[in-house]
Amino acid sequence: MHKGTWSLLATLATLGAVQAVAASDPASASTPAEPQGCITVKSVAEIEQETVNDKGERVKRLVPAAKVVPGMEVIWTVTASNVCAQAVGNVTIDNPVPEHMRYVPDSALGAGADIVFSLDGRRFAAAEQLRVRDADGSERTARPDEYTHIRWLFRNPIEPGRMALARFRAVLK
Amino acid sequence: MNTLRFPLKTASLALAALCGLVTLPPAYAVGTPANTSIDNRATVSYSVGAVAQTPIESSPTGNSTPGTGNGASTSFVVDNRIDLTVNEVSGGTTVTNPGATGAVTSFRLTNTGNAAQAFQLAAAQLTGGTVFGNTDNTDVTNPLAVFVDANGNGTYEPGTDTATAVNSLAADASIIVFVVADVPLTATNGQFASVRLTARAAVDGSPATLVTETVGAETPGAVDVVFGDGAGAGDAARDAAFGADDQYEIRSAALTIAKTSTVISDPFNGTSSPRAIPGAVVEYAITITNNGAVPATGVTLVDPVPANTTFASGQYNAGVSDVSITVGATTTFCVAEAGGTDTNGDGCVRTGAGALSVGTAASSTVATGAGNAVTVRFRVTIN
Repeated sequence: MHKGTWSLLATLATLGAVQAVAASDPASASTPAEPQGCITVKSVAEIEQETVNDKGERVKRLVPAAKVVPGMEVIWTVTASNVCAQAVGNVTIDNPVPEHMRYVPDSALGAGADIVFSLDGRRFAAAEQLRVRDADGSERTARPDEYTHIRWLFRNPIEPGRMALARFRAVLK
Repeated sequence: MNTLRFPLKTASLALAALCGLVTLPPAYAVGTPANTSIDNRATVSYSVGAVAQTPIESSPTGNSTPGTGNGASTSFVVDNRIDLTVNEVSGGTTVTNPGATGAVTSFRLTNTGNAAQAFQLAAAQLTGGTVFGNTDNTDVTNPLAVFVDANGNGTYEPGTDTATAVNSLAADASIIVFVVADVPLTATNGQFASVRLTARAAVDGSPATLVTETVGAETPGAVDVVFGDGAGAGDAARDAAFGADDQYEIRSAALTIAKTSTVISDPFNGTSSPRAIPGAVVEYAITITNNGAVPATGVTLVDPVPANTTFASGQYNAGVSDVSITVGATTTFCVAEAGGTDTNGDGCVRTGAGALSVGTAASSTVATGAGNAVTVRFRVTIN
């Protein structure tokens, strides 16, 4: 992609036609479209295993999620690595809380990211701004175990060769 | 969400703050069933320059191909957590009597794991120890029988509740288990016999085969077995077994018998300071007291008329009765026919050997407590 394409894309984006543009806009045809995006996204499920090292100290390490039974905590890690030559911005990682799992309060981590939550995957808000209405009509702040989706909004661009990391814990119901 | 991210995000934040109210589904009542696949797929949106790009989904090893459906879920399979509890049902002792057969204690077995399991059941006597605050000091008969409540009515029915193991119990389901015991005649009032029911998880549908915990590394995609049970009575945590205790309380009548004699009259002094000389009339008073916990029924008093005395008839009830029976403030009478045949059917008779037998309506049941003591009086003449 050369600079001329950017301005065209930007114009189209303003018109709300970005979806068509990014992968298959005819403008990209002149400069063959990259089949791959600029980011490699990886999701890993791990559990914390406590072992005793050769000094007799208890140490915790992450091992692939194995022997997971109800009540156990799984650590989900999503990495978004910039595999392009230029920086990528506005990086947002969306991760649903997996079905049959319950988000562990305050477990979402992501360096340089603002973290928002959702109860339906559409409306996201900071934890203290998520409100729900109970069956009796009363309104309250949503509990962390009610979150269905987590979104990390990375404040700064990811430079080439660097990655954004998002992590949260969830308990198997 | 493939459009410009930040303006929309801001808008959705504002929207959520204003009207982000969601009605929530009910929480799960049971653990996630074994063999359920837990799938996760993250989506990354980003811009190059100022231009939003097609979002990219995650995969376990890393995906760079934009577009929905080009990623792959990171998944694991929920393994089989073996978990169970056994609880004593009544919250107190099972009261029974010496010689009782088929005395029942009840337990509730609950499968708190995340898959259906079979369960082996075993009952054992306890020696010593305290259950419900009572120290075990006797045993019921061995071996103890264990039966599963087939129809779920919570009542042991010998012809119906015949299974001795649970073939299949669904996750989160529970079932009543009975321990059935006989009580030795030698057991006495106030004794306690504690018993313990232990359930062990077995392969669903095959109660003869106990489950074994998967050792070593996870088998990818396969359902491993993990013991997650707590410690019950007499068993450790994470051993796929759970025990609970119950107790039989032995209650029985405990009769004490006291016998006194009083000289009523003699041929010379009459009733004034009578002496026990030949021809004197002597009254025997036999008092039966029940110091036990339950009434004694079918009580018959047999007392040989003492040697060198002769049973004195017609001493009570204006000369028409031979024996007086007092219970509390109430006195009744009976006629003790000679010859062993209770012709008037009042429960009193003298056998051929000269023994008095008293088993009247008033005396055959001895209720507990001193106030319900039964006193039987009869008189003899000294030869």
